[in-house]
Amino acid sequence: MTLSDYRLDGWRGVISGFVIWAAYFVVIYAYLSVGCEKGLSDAELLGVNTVTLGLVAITMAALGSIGALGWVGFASWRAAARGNSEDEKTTAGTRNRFTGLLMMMTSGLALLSTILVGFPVLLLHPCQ
Amino acid sequence: MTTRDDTAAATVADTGGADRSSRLHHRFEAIWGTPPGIARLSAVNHTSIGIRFIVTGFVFFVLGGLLSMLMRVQLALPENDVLDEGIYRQFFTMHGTTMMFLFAVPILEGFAVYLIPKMIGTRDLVFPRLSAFGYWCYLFGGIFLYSSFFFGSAPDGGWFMYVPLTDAQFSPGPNTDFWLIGVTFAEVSAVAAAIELIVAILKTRAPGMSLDRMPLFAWYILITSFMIIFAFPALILGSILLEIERAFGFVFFDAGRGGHPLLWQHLFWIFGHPEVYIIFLPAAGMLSMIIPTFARRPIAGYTWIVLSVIAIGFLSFGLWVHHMFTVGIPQLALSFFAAASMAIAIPTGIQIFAWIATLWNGRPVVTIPLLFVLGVFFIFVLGGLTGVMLALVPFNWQVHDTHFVVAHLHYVLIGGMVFPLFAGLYYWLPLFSGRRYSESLGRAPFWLMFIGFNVTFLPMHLTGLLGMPRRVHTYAEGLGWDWLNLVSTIGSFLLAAGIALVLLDVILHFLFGKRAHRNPWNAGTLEWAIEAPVPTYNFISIPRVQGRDPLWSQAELVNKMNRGELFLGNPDSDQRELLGTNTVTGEPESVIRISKSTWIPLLTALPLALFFFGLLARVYVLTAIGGALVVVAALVWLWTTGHRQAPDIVDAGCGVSLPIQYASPQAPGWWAVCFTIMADAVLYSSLLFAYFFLWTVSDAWPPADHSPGSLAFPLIGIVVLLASSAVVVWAARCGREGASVRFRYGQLVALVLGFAFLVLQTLMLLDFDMRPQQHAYASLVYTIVGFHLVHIVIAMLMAGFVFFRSWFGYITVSRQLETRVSSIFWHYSVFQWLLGFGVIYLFPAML
Ligand code: HEM
Ligand SMILES: [Cu+2]
Repeated sequence: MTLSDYRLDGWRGVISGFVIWAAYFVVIYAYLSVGCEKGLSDAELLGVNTVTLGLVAITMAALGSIGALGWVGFASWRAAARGNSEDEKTTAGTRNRFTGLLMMMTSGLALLSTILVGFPVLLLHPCQ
Repeated sequence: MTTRDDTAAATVADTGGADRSSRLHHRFEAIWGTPPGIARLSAVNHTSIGIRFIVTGFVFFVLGGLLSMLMRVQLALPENDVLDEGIYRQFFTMHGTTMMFLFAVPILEGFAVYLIPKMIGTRDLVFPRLSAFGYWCYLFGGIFLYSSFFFGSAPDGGWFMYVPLTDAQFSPGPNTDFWLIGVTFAEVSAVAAAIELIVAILKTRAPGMSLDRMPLFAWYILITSFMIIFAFPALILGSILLEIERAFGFVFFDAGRGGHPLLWQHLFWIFGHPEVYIIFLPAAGMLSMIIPTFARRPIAGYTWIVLSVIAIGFLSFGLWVHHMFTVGIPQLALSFFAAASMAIAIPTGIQIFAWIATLWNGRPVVTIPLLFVLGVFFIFVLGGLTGVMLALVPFNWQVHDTHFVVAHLHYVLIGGMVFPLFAGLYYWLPLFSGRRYSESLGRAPFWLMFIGFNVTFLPMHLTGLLGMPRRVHTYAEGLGWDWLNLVSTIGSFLLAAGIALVLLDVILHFLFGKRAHRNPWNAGTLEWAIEAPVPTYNFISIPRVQGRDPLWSQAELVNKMNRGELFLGNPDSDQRELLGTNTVTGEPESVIRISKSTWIPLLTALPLALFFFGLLARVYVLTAIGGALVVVAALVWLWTTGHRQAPDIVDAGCGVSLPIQYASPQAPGWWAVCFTIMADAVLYSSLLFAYFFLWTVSDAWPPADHSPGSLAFPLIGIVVLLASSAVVVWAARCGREGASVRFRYGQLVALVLGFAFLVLQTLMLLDFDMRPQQHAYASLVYTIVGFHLVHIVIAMLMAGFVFFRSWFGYITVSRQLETRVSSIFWHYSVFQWLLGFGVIYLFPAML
């Protein structure tokens, strides 16, 4: 089974993008606070501060999983939209198109929000 | 699309149907009606409860408004002395608190309670007693807060009650206690209503109303209610901690003994920022219903709006620290919150575009509701702009705590909430009264409000930029603030006059308004299928919907509905019945029987008030008596739910037979418990957050030379708890297989194990070598353990309860709901301690 065959039913798919965003937000904030308070930022790996490194890694993970969700949403939406014209008129047809599209849109916005939040990590020193 | 004349013609042709529908009307009225006289107070029906919330909300709006008028009088002239400093502090605190906790949230929930069942095509909310109980909590909370004026000690710490201003040292009087207790009371009510609304929206929509056909208002309320579940517990916890610190000398916020005042700010704003959106979203939901009706076309971008509601629901939680820009948090952390503030502008903008597009492509008629909507656009957009300015960190430093902030906040709150609320009030008025307001009379109050509002708050931007701080009771002459303040005060009188005229207009229209008929606006959603004024049961029979605007697309719907030909059109069971449907598809799943009028909610809320009063007066005997009575009342409450005699399968009309809710795996009670556990888990997480937060800011944690004590008792405790969970699982399995005797034995064993655990935990605390008054660390250990013990006691009460329910034959092989509920709560409580144990015993060892 490839990613585009995967389906998340109804409301779960619709909120997962932002659930990941929320988890991401809590994790980076907690990691940053603890990391700075407890002196993690003094250490370096490959010339980069370990706190920054961790933040980048977490951000990449969040971006990856939200992106995957968006793809699943896109595929469900396309599948429902492509469905034969009979299917299109049924309640199930329109409903699946709606949830697929909405899943893609929420993931898209969650992705954008993640980028906005994560971008300053590259620019600022973590603990000042 | 049907016009009103079509429906009228159809009705005339069909007098036989009219007879039938009036017969049905009388029979349903007998089942759903409210008893007359004083017994009205026992009503639990959503229409009555919704109206109570709305009327009470307006009363508090007027009270809060009077306070603000007095403040404006004081500020009109420099060196004025109408209010002295102490009184001014009490007034702005009570004004803010009233507006946020006693007006905005409850009145919007009141509208939701009133409207949601009608819009989604059901007859009532699923837990009518809970709604009634919620109302009493709200009312008593408000009375608590206001009674403080009689003692001359109203809260005075500002609406966000920052410590240390509010701790026992700086605020020794009862002022702060009034706030903590009154507000907590009101918040309990908000959470109860939120749970109820979520379950109603997810489980009782009309058949065929799949997620993509839900009226937008229902989407808004759904998301808002979830936000309440996630946001309010943080403040409830903060209030509990502060109250324990003040009353019993525990330490959470006192920096001298390992606490930190910033903890309060965090807990407050984790609640407080979402709160702004909790107020804004339902109001925006009203706009999304009103605009299509008066643009006379379906809403543009339905999916986009749903997207933005969901996005706002999440993003609004990522903003809390932006209120603490000046408290020394690393730049990068601040930038996360600034980024979230920017991100939330996107969905907010999408909504506004969808509204404008709807108006643009429609054929708008400018009625009074629409006039208020246009007012919103103007005011709210300005408020949004100043909000973006405030989100810029350097600018924030500049105007932090000046009148600029006061101006911004009122633009957002009044533009985002009061104007939409008034639009909604006018729009849905015919449902309440069966009458129409007068278009010509309503214009003057609108313009007064609109002009008055801007004249009041626009100058505050300037005084703020000129440096006038907020929360000062007076100012010196000649700083350039004088005339601006005078103008602002004059504006506030115009605004108040406008509001008074609206209220007068509404009251008069009840007496003199022209009769309105069904669907006076020719709107598309189901609440307008109901005759105005609405009957108590809403729908004679429940229609199947085939689109987003059923009244526009399904011509025969109203007639069929009134002839009782659709779902649940048969009143013979003499019960209040709702249709339970699938969360996603809206297909019928069960028949839900709910409570008729009863005094139990009031009789539960009264002892709860006694409980709180005991806390306030520090007379703990009263607290104990109140608490015990609450438990008794709750048991009576629960015992009297559920009908032993009800058949397992019920005829639901339209040739469909469905299980009754007690026998359905999709019972609303089950969902409600899951959401309650969710809210409780947030409460608990906030407590753990407090632990970790104080750990990050402390030097030594646990404090030097201290440790949590020996592992012996807690380890035995863990084993006992896990064993109890296993027993509960086993008992539930026996119950499902019909071995009810073994099921009951299982409950008894669980009770014994629970009791053993209580003893072990007590021993563990005795073994612990610190008192909670010594250090924040010890306070948290005690609080985490105590919090959990309360859960174990509740779980034990539930186990005892199902024991007797099984004994008396309420729980059978086919009716497993109560067992499932008590089991999941048991496991949840066990899990809670696994976390608590990890935090208290394993975490310090890892350091
Ligand atoms: C009816 C018109 C209103 C007027 C004339 C008004 C006026 C005021 C004034 C003069 C202050 C105190 C400013 C200071 O010295 O710091 C204030 C504070 C506040 N107002 Fe209003 N207000 C009105 C309506 C509202 C509404 C509808 C809400 C909320 C839904 C609201 C929420 C607040 C809050 C939260 C505060 C801050 C209280 C604090 O500093 O603790 N106000 N308002
Ligand atoms: Cu905020």
